[in-house]
Amino acid sequence: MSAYETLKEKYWNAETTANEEKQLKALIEAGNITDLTDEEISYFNLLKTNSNIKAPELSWPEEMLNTKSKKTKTIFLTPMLRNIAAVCVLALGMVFLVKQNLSTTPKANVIEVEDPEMALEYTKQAFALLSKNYNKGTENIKTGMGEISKLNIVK
Amino acid sequence: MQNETIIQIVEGFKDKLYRYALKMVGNQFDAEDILQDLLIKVWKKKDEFSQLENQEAWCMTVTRNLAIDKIRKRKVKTTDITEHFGISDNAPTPDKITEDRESLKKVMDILNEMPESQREIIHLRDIEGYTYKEIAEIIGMTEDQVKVNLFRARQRFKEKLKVLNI
Repeated sequence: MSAYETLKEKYWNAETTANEEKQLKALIEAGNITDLTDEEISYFNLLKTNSNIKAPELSWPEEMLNTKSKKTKTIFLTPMLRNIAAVCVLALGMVFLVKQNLSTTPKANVIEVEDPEMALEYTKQAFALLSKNYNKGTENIKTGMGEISKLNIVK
Repeated sequence: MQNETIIQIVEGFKDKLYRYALKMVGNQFDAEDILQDLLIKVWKKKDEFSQLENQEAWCMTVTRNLAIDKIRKRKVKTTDITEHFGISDNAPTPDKITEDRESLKKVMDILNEMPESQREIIHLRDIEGYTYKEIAEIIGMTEDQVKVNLFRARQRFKEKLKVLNI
């Protein structure tokens, strides 16, 4: 069976693709397939003739032909709503983060004292605590330096 | 979508719409009426039309529905196809012309005996070149149903031709 015959058989079995059908019709029109019956020729001629029929001029409604139609802008709600929702989520997230940050920040212990003598006493205590820790620090340094000099590393 | 754009789109496939209407109703006057009715529908639903994914398929479906309505309102008289369409271009002699007319008549008889759905599918596939998916969308069938109907239509045609040529 020739390639043309095969194609023709495929056509009658409705196994051809749209492109193969175009190809078959083109081959028949060009006269490349000769072993066709008169009825097959008529059939394919009929298909061809039908596909060449043209529509008459269309009469559109007057309003559609009015070229001064007002320009309308189509607003698509879904993307807009999506954007608004995204901004709201972002804003809420930022508010939440800021609040979280503020709550974790340790607040300094503040004592309000009205009596000046008591205020002085508290201040003295605070400085004493400070100097105690400072002295501890300097003693540690002196001890450390003593040890280092004993080692005779640096002369 | 601008009116001019809609007009341009529909003008692009008006021939297919007209041929389909003509095939359904069998005469050019009713086919033209159907086309005009379609334009009015497009105008009335132009906002919806603008949003459609496949505007051509929608127009073809509306054309089909309008044609069915028209057919229901009257009794369809099948026209002699040879009055409207040319026969073979290679028909130099009167004998050949007669032979061609006879062959064409046989073809038309076979086609007219087919169920309407099969004729419709042959038109949409073999004349307009639509895919199975597009045909399914236009006439409201599944793709498989379209394939089966096309197979049956072509097989029927082939068998009838065999009988005629024995």
